[in-house]
Amino acid sequence: MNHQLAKRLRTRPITRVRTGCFTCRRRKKRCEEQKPVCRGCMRNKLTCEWPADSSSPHTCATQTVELSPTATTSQDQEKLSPTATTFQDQEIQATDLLDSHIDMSPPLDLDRQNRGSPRYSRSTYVWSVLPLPSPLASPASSAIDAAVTGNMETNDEQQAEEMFSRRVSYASSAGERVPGQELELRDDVTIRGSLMRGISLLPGYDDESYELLNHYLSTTADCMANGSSPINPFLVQIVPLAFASDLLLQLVLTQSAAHRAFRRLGDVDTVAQYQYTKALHRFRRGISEFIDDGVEATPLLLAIGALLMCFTEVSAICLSLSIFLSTALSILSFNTNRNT
Amino acid sequence: MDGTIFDHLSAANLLLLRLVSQPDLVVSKDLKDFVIEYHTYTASVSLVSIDVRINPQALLNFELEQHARQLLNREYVGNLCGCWLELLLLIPCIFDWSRPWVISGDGEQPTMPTADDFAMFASLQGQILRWSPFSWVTPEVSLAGRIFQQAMLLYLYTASSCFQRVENGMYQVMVDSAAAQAMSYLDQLPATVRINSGLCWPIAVVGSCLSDPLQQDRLRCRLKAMAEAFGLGNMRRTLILLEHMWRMPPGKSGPWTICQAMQEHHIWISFA
Repeated sequence: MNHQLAKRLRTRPITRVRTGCFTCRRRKKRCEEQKPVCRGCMRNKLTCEWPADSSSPHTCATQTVELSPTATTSQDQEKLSPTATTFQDQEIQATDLLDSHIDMSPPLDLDRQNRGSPRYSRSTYVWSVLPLPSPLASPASSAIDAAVTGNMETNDEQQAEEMFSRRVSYASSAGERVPGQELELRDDVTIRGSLMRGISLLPGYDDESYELLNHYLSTTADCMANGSSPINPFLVQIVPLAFASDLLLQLVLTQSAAHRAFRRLGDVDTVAQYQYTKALHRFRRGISEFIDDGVEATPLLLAIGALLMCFTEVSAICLSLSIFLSTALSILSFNTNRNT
Repeated sequence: MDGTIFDHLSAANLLLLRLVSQPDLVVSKDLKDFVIEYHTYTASVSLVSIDVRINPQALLNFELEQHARQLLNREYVGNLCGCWLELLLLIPCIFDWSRPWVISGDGEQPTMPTADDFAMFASLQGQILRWSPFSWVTPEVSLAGRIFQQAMLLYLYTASSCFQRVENGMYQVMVDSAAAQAMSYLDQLPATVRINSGLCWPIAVVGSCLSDPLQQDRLRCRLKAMAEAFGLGNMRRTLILLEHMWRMPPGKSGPWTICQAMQEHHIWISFA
């Protein structure tokens, strides 16, 4: 009997709540339908929103969705502050913001007809492609967290908060809308406009970095993968790691800069050189920390960083600054052999 | 001579072993697979650019190679190795097998191959000839795999180019046949198709064996089109390298003189 019950439970399909508020539907939670704020939203301090015609069980795709604008008031900040709610609730909220954007966006066509042409711009789908780094959802992010955990005991709350802020800022800006404005998700300009008005996707990085990241997402990653399989690891694997590591993010930006420079002028330009210099400095620092501190938190990122450096050479050969890297890597190899 | 990329690969060896030994809960299987593919691909195709006196284990050590072979058991197809991972793993074998006589310079008598060397040659050739693309991959991926296959044969055959041979004898027939077959496959694959981003290595190997000006021009046009479409530096530099090699004395140009040409003309390419 118990086996049958368990089997029935396992095979029972997940059903969405059809009459609850939007927030409960997205969270797949039972909504007790108190208005104006249901008990679930009140308890978790979430925005409780209802269809205009709340008697209709169906969601209208063009219904105005008013989400909390971000970072303009202390109250708004508190909504996304780690101290206001639990971490998981924040992640769910941040996830919900992005999910609602993705749900209503044009379908991602991985098998687009003109896939063979690398000139085809994927900028329309940039933000749909970009996965949200979440410890709950992404195996890559679980690796990131494990890597970070090594630092958690020493320098930690600040680092964790910075990383958290980066994730939440990313999700918030990806899902931000002007309150009361009907969403035109099929309009590329509106998507970009709403994104540009948000909190910086890359706190601490300038507009140039933002453009380089966009270029990587829309062009460079496509050119580096040969398309043999539909999932591009230079997006799906590398990008989440880049959002959790300054080193990998810098390497991604460097690749993009070198690639962009070559496409424009056929050679490396000052932007690419600058990004490459920064990448080398970060890499050296990462290696030094690994060697000096013996911290096991960084080998994942260093290993992938080393591989990305190889592909940076593919994008555009830039050997003038490589002497430092060669020296650092020699030290790393010597130290690793000494310890084994 | 070492290029920068080889330092990255050497260091990555040690770090990657730690990475792949992590449980799947810490590092996802997909990420591990990708990293193994990434490293195997980059290390293998980079061997053509380095001095044969270097031990290939410095770039791709045995343990990582075994991890890569486990991917084969699952019919792994990746965005770098395509469906030809099995062929890529033969590159270090050929590299290692050929070192005794490739090392010998001009004018020196190459080391006489042993019976074991002949047996190894037969085994390598057999593995390459038996390989075929997975039935379920797209035609483009399948064609690219066939191009790699012909390039691998050229890589294997030309390892014995230091020995005496008859002009237009069996050796030359086999080399010309493999090169022609590779060019035929390339002609069936448009230059702007995405799969071309992974064809720098076979194009360099095949191109280094071409002596016919018409075939050289076909390859020249193709590389220009690829560089224009993809904007990757290695494609343009592959063409520059081949232009230098095509100016070498007859019979001197080949996959095993790519390294020498790169050194002489200071052309550093990652064929990845």
